[in-house]
Amino acid sequence: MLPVLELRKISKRFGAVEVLSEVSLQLFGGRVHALAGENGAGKSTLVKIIGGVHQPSSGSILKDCEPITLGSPLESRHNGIAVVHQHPALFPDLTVAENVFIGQQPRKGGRIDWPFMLERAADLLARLDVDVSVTADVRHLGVSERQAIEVARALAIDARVLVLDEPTSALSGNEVVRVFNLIERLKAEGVAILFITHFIDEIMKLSDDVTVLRSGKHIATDTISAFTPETIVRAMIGTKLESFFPKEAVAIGDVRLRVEGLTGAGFVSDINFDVRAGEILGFFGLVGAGRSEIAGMLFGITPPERGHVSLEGEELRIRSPAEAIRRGICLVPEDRHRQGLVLPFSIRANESLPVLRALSGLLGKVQRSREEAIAREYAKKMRVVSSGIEQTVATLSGGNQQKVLLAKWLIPNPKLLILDQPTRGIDVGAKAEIYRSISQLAATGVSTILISDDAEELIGMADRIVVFRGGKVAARATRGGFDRAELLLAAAHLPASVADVKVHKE
Amino acid sequence: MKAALASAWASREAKLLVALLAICLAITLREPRFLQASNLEQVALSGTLVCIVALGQALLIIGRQIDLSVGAIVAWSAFVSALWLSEHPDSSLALVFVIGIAVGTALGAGNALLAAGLRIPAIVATLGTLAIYRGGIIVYAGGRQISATILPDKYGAVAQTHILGQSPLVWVALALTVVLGWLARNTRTGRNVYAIGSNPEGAEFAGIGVRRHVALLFVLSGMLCGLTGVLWGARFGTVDAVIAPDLQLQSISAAVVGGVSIFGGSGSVYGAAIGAAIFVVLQNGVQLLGFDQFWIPALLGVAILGTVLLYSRLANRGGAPTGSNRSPARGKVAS
Amino acid sequence: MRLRSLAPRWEAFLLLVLVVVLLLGAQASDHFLTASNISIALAGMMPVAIVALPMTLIIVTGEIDISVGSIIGLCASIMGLCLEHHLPVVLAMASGLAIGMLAGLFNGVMIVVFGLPSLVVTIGTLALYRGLAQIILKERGVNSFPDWYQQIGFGMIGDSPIPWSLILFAALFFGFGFFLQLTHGGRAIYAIGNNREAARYSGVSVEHTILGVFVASGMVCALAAIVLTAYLASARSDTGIGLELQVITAVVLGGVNIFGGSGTLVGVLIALFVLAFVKNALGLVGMTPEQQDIVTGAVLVGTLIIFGASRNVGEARSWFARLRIGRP
Repeated sequence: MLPVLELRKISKRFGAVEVLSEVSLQLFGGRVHALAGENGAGKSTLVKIIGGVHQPSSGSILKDCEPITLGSPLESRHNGIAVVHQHPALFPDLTVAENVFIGQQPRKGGRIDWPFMLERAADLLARLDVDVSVTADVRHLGVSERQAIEVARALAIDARVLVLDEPTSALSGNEVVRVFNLIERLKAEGVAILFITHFIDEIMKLSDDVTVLRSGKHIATDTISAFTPETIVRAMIGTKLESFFPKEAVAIGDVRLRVEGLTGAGFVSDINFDVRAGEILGFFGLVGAGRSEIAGMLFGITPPERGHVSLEGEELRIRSPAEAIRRGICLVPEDRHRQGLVLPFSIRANESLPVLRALSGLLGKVQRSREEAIAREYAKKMRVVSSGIEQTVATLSGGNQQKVLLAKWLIPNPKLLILDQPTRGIDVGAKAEIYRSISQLAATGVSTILISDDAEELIGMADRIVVFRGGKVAARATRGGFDRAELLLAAAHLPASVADVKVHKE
Repeated sequence: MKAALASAWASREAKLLVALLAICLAITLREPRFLQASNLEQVALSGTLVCIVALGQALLIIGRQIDLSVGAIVAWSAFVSALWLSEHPDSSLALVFVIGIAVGTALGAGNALLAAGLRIPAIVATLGTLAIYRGGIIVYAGGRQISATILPDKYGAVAQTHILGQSPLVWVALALTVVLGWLARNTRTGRNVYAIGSNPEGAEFAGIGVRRHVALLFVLSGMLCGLTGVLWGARFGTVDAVIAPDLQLQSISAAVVGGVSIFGGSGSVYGAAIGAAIFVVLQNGVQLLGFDQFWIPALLGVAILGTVLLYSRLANRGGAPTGSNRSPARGKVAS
Repeated sequence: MRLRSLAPRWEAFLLLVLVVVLLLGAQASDHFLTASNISIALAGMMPVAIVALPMTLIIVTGEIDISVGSIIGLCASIMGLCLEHHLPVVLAMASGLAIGMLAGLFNGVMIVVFGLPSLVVTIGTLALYRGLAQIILKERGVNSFPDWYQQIGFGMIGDSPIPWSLILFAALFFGFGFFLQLTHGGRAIYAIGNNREAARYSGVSVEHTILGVFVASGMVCALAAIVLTAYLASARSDTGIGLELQVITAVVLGGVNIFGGSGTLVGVLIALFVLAFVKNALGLVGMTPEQQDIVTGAVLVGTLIIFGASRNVGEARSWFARLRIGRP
């Protein structure tokens, strides 16, 4: 059988950083090919190349054994490739049927053939076993249904290749099962499916072939029968564990933060944990598990529905980030471009933003000399590489941006520092420096909550780890008893029938 | 299925119609003169001109654009066509219409060049053309006024004759509303405009040529203003360079009251037409009920604020609000 | 802090335009560069200039206020009403200020508390406030302003050509400038305009800040109403009509990004000078106000085209570069 789509030695460079190197992949009709790898492995870049958003720096793409170029998303679609994104970009003001047929509504003599379109859309959705009215406004639909619509869009163009980018990351329970059924149906129709995920159990259950990427390199490709969960995980993380986590032994003090029965953000329920002085508490879990939402509740972004939060014995009712900062709680947010930094601002202006009022004197005038001094001091502490504190943050590398972000939140001298994915998308050198800073911080007695998708990172840095799943606590572990594969499996959606889990489960 | 669909999208417009009828009823109860044929005729006539412009404005806003220069374009068209007719009284009316519409189209194309071609944000581009076009027509007119006395009767007759009991203006406005509403609803181009307003980047990704569509919207708005200009002269008889000074605000208000969201992507020309009707009915009601006409702008302001507040309440009940950082009507053409 | 690469270039460009305008004006008329003419040119621009200051702050945060002309009309009407009832002029002025503040507060509340888009809210209040002004004064005009009051509008300080209103403007300019460039509140405004979410995550009180700028706008409009009624020596319900367009033109010409996040008052100041002298020069040459408007509009569009063209050139270059990648 000939591959419908083939990628040959695809490499991609962004500036000096090589994100993918010589990745090769074949997709066959009626087979599910899983693309596995941890965050930063290069999966999403590969998806963007297939989707026509990026062009490879080298290598070739072949469709039905003929070389093609995918210079734009439209070209990709015209070649019968459809991508379903994690967060589907649909048109919220239009109906389901219109979204499915956007840009190519069926016509009868110049006018749109509504009855036909509605029927076809209903058909497609029925084929996917999705129970959504074709006349519903997309605005009101959840992620699961939006994904289904994107899949329907793919079917509408008779796509031969369907790329599903982490389809279950934002889902749970029944919705996950529905995605599986969907994939089975598409297989039966002869569609070639590329399925990106980091859920091992899904890979075992659904795929026919597996390709594992690590750090942009192609590690392994084989049929599923050649893999076990453990071998997949090992391929994903590598057998050589670089121990560059400079975690110092720190005397851990009394309980500083106590959280009881925290409920909110729609799906987070009954969270209990505490953090001690000098302790680093790791929050593990996968996208959508609720960790960032918990952080947001502690920081005053969204108020919790229920629960008690107390800091050093005192009950807190935090209603805004300003209040949280005053109480000594700081949050380094997940998305450093959208939530963390003001990109057109300088390093100094970014660092000083949370404490600007404190740096101001008469009539609110910012005391520049104090601002510059403190910005310089912390930029130096974090070893930010720049041409000076006046450099615009947008022109810094990802690693340096993250350091500036961290410096910004160290300046207010927090008692509790919440770090949401602090090392995502940055180079190894910067990562090491950030780990060093986190460690030093703990040594000064600061309590830290470290949210991460990288189990290795948490194993290296945390004193205790809480694993979240679907808005609830799924497991807890203490330093000395960490096991990476177990953490990954505990965070998985479906009950881990695939392997024994030695970790304490709730 | 088709019936279900029809009722689905018509619901907002249906509610607006009900609101309009409710207002009419309320006014009639206090002042039965409202329903007199002669009064209704006047109401209809005042509404038509704003209505036609509001159709184009509504489509622009749906596409996340805006046109502040509509009044100036109408003035240009009105003056040039009336001038032509006064100097060539034997010319056919059809030619006069062609001239007026051509003028409007040309000026609309100017807006299109700036907004779609040079990607200047619509609100700023049409702020500039507002000044240029209005200043231009005032200079060109040089203080002249073209009055009905020097214009042939057939011109005024356009507004005054009765076809099926109504002025032709009313039929034109109705016809345009129906046609544009149908096109917006039933052609790919029309649906693409909604898509662009709803998610411009998504539209670009889906292969919809955003700039092309935006250019079309400005040219269309210009054409409608051109037509309105010619009809203006027929209706009012006297044309000079300062007519229609607030038309941009009137047309935007009609669209917004009519359910067109300032963020783009939703609403309809039918709604805008009903919005225009609501305004003229309110205005008429205020007069009939003996209020000073000075109450009108204040009531209009309340109407605008009230409807926007109402729509936002309804939208929030329905689901998540539209994305943060969404820039209403100042949206650039793709980035 | 602002878009550093762009700002000094824009202001320098505007200064160049100003110099050109002054040169051309001096060429066109001997009377142009005389002290009395300059002061007339400036005095006439003061109401617009004053309102342009808080408008700059509003636009930098990413909002807009189209109702400023109507707020001026409303304040003028209230003041006129007070004078008609023979209340002391100072009391009339105080009521005007209070009304201006309330009008700005109403705008702010609708936008911040109810979450409505500022464009539509201020279109609504543009109608509402003008309507209220009309209800108050109807068609009447109030002229019974004392001489000292009229001095605010077109009086000069002693024998110098400096109008009093310029002092007011200067005070406000330095006040707002100080706020925007040097205080933490001003920094918050730039942060909000550039990235509202990041500002919120950084502890900036977004709602309070936006509410504050709209209230400030309302109060400044009241001051502008005082200056304008003094200049015209009359208060009517249509005082200040159409002013918003001139204000927004000045702000955009001054290099303030209409989408928010960047721009300085210095740029707006230069733009105000440019507009004042363009209009003045054209008037001296015999152009009617309408012809002046054409030129103003052309200046606005022209600068935007230049502004946009430099952006588009950069984009065009990267588009060409993209074509070469990925082609075998």
